[in-house]
Amino acid sequence: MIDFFPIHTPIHTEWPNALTLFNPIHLLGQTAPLDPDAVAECLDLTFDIDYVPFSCGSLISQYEKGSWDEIWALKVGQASPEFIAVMNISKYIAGPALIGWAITGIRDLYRNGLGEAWPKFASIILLAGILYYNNAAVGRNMIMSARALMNYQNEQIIEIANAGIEYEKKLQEIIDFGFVEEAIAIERDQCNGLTTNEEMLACLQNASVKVNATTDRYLTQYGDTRFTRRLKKYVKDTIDDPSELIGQALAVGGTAVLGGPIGGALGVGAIIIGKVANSASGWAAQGILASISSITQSLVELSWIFTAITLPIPLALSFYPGTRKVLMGWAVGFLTVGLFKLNLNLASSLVTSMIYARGPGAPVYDLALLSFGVIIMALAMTAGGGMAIFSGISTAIAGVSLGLISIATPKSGKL
Amino acid sequence: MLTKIKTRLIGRGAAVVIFSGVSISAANAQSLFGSSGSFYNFAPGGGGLGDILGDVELGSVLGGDGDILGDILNGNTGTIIDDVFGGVCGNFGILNIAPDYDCEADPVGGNSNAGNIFGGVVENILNGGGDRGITGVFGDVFGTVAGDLGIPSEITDVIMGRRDVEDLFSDILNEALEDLGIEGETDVAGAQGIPIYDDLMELLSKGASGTTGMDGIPVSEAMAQQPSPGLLTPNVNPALIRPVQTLEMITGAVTNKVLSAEGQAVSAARTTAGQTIIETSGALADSAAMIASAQATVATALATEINAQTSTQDTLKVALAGLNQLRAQSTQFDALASNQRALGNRMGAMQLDVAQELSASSAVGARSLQMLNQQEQSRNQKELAAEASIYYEHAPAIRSMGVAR
Repeated sequence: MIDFFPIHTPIHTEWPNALTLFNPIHLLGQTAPLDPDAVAECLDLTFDIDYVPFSCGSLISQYEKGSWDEIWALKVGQASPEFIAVMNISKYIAGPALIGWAITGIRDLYRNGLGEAWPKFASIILLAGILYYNNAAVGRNMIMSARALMNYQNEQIIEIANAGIEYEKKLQEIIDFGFVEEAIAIERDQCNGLTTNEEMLACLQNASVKVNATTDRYLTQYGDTRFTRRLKKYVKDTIDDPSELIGQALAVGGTAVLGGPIGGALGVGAIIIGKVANSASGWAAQGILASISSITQSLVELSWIFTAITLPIPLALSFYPGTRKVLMGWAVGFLTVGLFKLNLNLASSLVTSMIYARGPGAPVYDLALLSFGVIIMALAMTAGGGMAIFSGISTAIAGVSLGLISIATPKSGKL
Repeated sequence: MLTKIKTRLIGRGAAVVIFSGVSISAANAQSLFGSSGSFYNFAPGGGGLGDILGDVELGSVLGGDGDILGDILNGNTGTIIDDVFGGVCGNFGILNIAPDYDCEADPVGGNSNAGNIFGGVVENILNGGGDRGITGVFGDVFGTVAGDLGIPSEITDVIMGRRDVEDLFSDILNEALEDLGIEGETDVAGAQGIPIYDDLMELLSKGASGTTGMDGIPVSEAMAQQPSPGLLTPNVNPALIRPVQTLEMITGAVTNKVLSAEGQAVSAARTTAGQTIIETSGALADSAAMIASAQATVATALATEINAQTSTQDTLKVALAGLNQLRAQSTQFDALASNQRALGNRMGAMQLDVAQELSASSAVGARSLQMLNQQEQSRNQKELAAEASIYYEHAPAIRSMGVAR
């Protein structure tokens, strides 16, 4: 049903037609799902030592959005089994209420005559009919429209941030920086088991070709930024300079460099800044943090669709005189989840700007900010803002940061 | 002293040593060659001069088959001395060692009584009643001649049996050690006169850095001073892999695992001692050359002198005295060779020490440098494998991270 939208093109560009029948409002803000093969290709895990893959964040984001759109259309847009099940439950809830309404109506009919009682009685029947007709089609469409509006707002935020501060690009650049930095470290690590100058030189030269190709790709993709310059310097410090040093020593005479297994001293200063090791724990920490971010996004969507599917319950409860505010409560909850999603992107945009302005740091630390920090900030903003943001951020961030800083020492030092 | 002797002898390379008017008997042979008996396995009263000289291997020194003198003195034919005496009966019998009573043409003794006659006369002439060395008439004569010729008193003493060869070489060695900065003990060990120092190794290493100018930095110190920050040994690169851990590993490898502190000390001492021994050997070789030169001179002079004699008796006297001198000098050769061997043995023992130390430490620590390298390499590979595994677990999550749409 959404194949007619061009791939990767947000629907909001079609906004003038959005209210027409051909572009129903519940499709507002949706994009066509991406080709799964393209996503799989981006996330390909085939072992390729010569190629450092960059972030697929933007692609995945669009792909997941498309997937969620499909699920919404399937589960809420249509009368899904889950929705029908909830509808059946709501019928049991609403049944006594309707019976009560009927008794009251009949009694009114007996006492006051048809002319007085009819409109009320008819309105009840009409309301129940409309609400429950076609498995609450009216309610489902309303939910879809509300979500579409919310997503549209979200998309607007992202677009504005992208236009203003290149939000997504910078986010990817920050994440890719960590990737490339780790890749350089691993390349250098692989040369550490060699025992002769010749082997070491050959290994470093190979590593130099690989990582320089990677940093060149990074340069092409993101331009000559502080992050790019840091990576170039890191390659120079860890691979190119030692390589040159050994080459010179070999030219002079190999024995000058290596005096046996333990080796002699070169008589030069430290050839590397920072540390190379501990990459494995770095990967794990980054992976966990990135997962938290992704999982949070999915949980938001999941909460949202779950809330949507439970619509018939508050609907049924609203037939009772004392529980009419339940429907309002549900609506607030539904919108709050959407608001949280908005706030997630706002907070992420802010953190990205901050990190980018600060310059290259420790990938794990930055990821912690981008996942934990963003989530906590978004929660606080959704909960009320102001002092709540401050107290929520200060308590949560402190604990998270202190825990993560210990495993997130910068590898390439400061520029 | 060594230098002094060398100078004197070489300065008079053409010196002629003359022994004249001297005869000798078997009874006095022992007193002639000193009392220590270290080199001269006399068998008083029998055995013959061949036995007397046998231990010295004078024959090999002179280039013959070792039996020359024995042949000469026992009356065998075809020898030099035989020719000198002009075809007389092979067995002179003058020393009364193995008289040949059938030799009627014997110009000296002619019969069994000749030895006895010489025995009494020569004893009086040579010893004059003295206790040690050549005294009496011969001693005076020889002393005068040696003084005229400028032979160093040390050599003269040895030749005349007043002094042991051991003492002479002990002095030489001590002097050599003094040059290396080691002084003190003068005790000697063994017949070769090797000086005994309880702490010779320490003294040598101490002297090495101070006085000889050799680059004898002790091994341990050299290793300890190895700067580590710039170390670019690939396998154990402290700047690259866990600096603290790697440094600790290298330090441990050098100190504990490979060579203990004691082992390093022995190794250092060995290096120094090697230098010392080389120098000492050089000095000994000089001495050997010097003695050989002197010996050749003596031999030449002896031949000349013998030819110059007119009477048989004088000829015999000269010949015997000369032979004794030759023998004494060849003994010095032996002593020198023994010294060399002793030094070589000491060097070998120290090398064995170091080797054992290395071997033991390797066994105890169960680690060698090669093994350390292999372990490090293996560890790196494992780490890389683990890292790759973790990378492929977490990379998708990181690369999936993006905005919430």
